[in-house]
Amino acid sequence: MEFLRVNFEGGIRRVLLNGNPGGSTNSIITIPLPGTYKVSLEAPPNDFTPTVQMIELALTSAFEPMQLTFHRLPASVTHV
Amino acid sequence: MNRLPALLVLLGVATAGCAHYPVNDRLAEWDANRGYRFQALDADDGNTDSLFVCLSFSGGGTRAAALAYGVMKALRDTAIVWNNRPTTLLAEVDCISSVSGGSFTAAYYALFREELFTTFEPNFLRRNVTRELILRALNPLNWFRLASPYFSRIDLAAELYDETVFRRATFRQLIEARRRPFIVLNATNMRNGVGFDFTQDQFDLLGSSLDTYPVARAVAASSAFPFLLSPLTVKAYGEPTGFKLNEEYATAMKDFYLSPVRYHWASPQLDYLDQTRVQYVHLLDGGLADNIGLRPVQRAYATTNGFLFRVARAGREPMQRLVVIAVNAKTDPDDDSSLSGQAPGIIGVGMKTATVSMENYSFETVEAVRGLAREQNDLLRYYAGCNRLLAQCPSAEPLPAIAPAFKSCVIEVSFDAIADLKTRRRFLNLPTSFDLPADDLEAVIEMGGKLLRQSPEFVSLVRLLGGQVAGAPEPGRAACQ
Repeated sequence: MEFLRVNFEGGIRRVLLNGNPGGSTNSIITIPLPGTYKVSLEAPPNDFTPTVQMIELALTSAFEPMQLTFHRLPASVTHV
Repeated sequence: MNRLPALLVLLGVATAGCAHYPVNDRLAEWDANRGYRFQALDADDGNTDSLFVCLSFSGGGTRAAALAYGVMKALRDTAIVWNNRPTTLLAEVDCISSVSGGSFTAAYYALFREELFTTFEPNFLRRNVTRELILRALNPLNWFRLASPYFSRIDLAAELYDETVFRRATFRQLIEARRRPFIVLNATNMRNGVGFDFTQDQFDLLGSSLDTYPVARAVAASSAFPFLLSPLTVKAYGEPTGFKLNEEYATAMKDFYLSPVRYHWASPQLDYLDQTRVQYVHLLDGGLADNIGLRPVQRAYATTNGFLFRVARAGREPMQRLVVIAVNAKTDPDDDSSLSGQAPGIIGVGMKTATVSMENYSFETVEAVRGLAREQNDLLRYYAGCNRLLAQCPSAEPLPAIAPAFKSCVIEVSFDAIADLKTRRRFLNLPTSFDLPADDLEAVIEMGGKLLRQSPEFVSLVRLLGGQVAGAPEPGRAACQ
């Protein structure tokens, strides 16, 4: 089992793993298998950057999850 | 008068020329939310996401169908309280993954629901289906059909099941009912020995729609025992219009070293999209890939596009408890060859090759799923323990929440759990066929319920869910948490 925490200052948002619902931002998500995952946030709104992060998830623990951060974009630069 | 034989031959040749198995339809336009998929089924019939129950029914002919039926009866009779509402464990069943004989019970319940408990016995379990199959094959009209290269014994079997068991139902009937359990009928791709399931997610990769496909043909493929029955063929049309391949496949293909299991699950699936390699898929008994039917549940749990992965993380309500019940009708028949120094002949070797290997990894598969459950339960226990220690430190914050945080329980029903040796040997020597003598049939049905109710995991689970199992022993350390 692997552990991932996706930080997003914009609050609670659904995390997508390979485009599939995988959990929520700002809490620790458990994932049964290690591997390569494409991580994103549910949109709209497209108010975060980067839009996608590719990760190699392995060797994590509940106490040391892999941490990723998506930054909130100001409303004026929200992706279309 | 002399022209009659010639006319008959001519008619036969014409019939043979026309005989063709029903071809699965091309998928006109792909839609991720249409077709027979878990997410297309509505769970608003009182079946919660918070208690998620998956069953797997193994192969083993009528013996397996009857054992699964006995377990279904026991689940129907197991009263529990969930979300302050009295219900039964059967009403909470969300998925059934099945193989071969077990697929008859799974498909019958999905189609006809409570009618399983009144008509399944006369319509299937108590019939001599083997004899009916032989009689159809001996019918001279069918000889001509069987002479066609596009019509074989499995197609005759599928017709028999369609007419006499499944009332010509197609998957559209299951789609329109929009009710759980979601059934996964499993066959084996003859080319590579990889599991193939009759769901729209699988048929997407063939560019085909499952909507109009007869459920009976899926069950026939699932139970196409090698040599006795021929493979069942489905057509692959290539990538459907508007198709978007789930990204799980693309990322898993990068994981040959980092996560080999993801790679090996994804890789053979992508073959179906390659028209230069695959235009038809020939399917044999699902038992060749996994005779217990648990691997699809394992994949649904562990891959990001799996329905169990999805419902645990984005269900209508948080999943609190996952229950997997594996019904395993495996036998271990006494074998005269073990009493003789003479090497077995070619027929004996052929039959053994087709059967012995089917059971080889069932135990390991159950253990692999138990391992996933144990991992989840251990995590919750360690987390709770750490938080209890942290609570003793005045300034310490509790650990951050983890999700999903559900408890898991895996229960196996198997003849191996029969304590009395003589009784166990009787059940382990039952034949694998589609005709079981009435006294054996009744004994297997009864044993299904008995084995479930004697399982320590089951007894403890029912207690945790506010029910009771009459006369059950104390579960001890083998209990569900």
